[in-house]
Amino acid sequence: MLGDSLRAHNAYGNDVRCTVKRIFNLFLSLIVTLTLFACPIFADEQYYYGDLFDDADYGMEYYEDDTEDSGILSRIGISLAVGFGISLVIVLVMRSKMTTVRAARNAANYVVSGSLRLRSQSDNYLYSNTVRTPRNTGNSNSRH
Amino acid sequence: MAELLLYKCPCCGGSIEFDSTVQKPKCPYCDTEFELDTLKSYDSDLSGDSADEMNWDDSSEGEWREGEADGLRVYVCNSCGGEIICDDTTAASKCPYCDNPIIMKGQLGGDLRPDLVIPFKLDKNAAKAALMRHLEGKPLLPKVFKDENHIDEIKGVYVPFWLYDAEADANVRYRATKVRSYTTSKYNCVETKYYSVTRSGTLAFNHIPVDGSSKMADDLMESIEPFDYSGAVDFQTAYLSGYLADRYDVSVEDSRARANSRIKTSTEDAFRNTVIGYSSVTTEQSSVRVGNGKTQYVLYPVWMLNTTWNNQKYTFAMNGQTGKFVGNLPVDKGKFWTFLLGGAAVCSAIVFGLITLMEMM
Repeated sequence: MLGDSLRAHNAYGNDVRCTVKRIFNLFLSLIVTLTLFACPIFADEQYYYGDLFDDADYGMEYYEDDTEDSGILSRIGISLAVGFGISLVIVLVMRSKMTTVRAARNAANYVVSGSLRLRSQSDNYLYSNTVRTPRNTGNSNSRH
Repeated sequence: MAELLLYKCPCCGGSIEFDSTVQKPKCPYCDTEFELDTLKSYDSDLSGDSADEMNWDDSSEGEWREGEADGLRVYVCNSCGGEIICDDTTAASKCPYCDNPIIMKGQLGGDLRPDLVIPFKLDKNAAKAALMRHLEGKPLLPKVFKDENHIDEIKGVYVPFWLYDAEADANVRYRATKVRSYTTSKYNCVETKYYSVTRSGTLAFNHIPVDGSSKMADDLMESIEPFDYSGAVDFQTAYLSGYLADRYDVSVEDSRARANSRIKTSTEDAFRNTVIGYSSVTTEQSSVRVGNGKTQYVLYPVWMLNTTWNNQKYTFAMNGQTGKFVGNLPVDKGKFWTFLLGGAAVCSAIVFGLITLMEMM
């Protein structure tokens, strides 16, 4: 009798623990999903704690993946470089608008319309160069 | 064969020799082989090269009629040396170039009489409005400069210009390339063919202006071009009433170099536009001879605006005929770095988000 009630209590307790764990995992998943939308830097599986809990439950060890770290770092590096480049172009365009005094290079505004008369013209072929790059390696060049 | 030794290699400029093994002219320096006809035609192109030759007729200089300049006064700036002409009804107190006080020197005399003048079509209010528009939409402009900027005096100045009419007879040689890429079983190949292209012909120019005032910055005056020459009328001293006029102090001969330079560049550009079908075209040699060159002395209307900020002088100019407004503005270094770094942060975040999204997809 006592044994039955203890088993029932344990079964109930297990059910309750499972339910709490599911709710907790669901809550974590929601936070992670929202975080991913707000801050894509965390869009990496190693930060998904739900999986970590699952792994811990099954007695699996957690290993940090260095390649994932370097992947994020390279993405950050590329983003910073491209972002800085775009920003620099925009700011230099803005700065160029501050300078409106420029010497005229030519007299195109004063060319008499239709006055160009070509007396003679010639197009003579001189020589040619061919640069060959091997298709497989692409390292060595030959010039002929 | 002795004749061949005189040929220069179109590729590296070395002396070409006849190679008996390939039975072709060959450059011993760069190993490029040529057809004999090719070298002959290239040599004839080279022999056609000649130096620039600019001939001008300055006979259009006018003289003041008797009594015409009596009503004109000359003021001189003790600071920059500028000499200003205005009629005796116009009070001139400050130099339009450096904003320093000017003093009356005396009666005008001895100068050339302008052939033509373009009267002012836009008034002082138009110049003020143009300045306001000029300051708008400039995020890097210091706020203090915009808010506290007040031009003490806006002056309408007739600026002396020499106008040059000419016909350019040019002989231009270009080096052109055609690039073709193709693939064989073993190689990716890029073939570049080189051509010697020549163009000879003529091009006419009318009314190229070069300012005849040493105090007036050339680039400032060239920036408010073009003036509409059809609006020019015969000079009358009445047009000076209410405005200042600068005396020319750069002679027509000394101004000519600037006109020649612009004519030469435009001629090369115009001929260059007839060289089509190539991957690249660069000018190798050009000789421009100016013929039928004529000059005129004219006065063009310019509104001058000066202001000083942070001990630095800023000069603005507006074309008094067309309203084109120019003038360099100061850059707020703080704003520059804020925009640069802030923009970099925003752009980087966007780029990172895009990269991440692409990897997730």
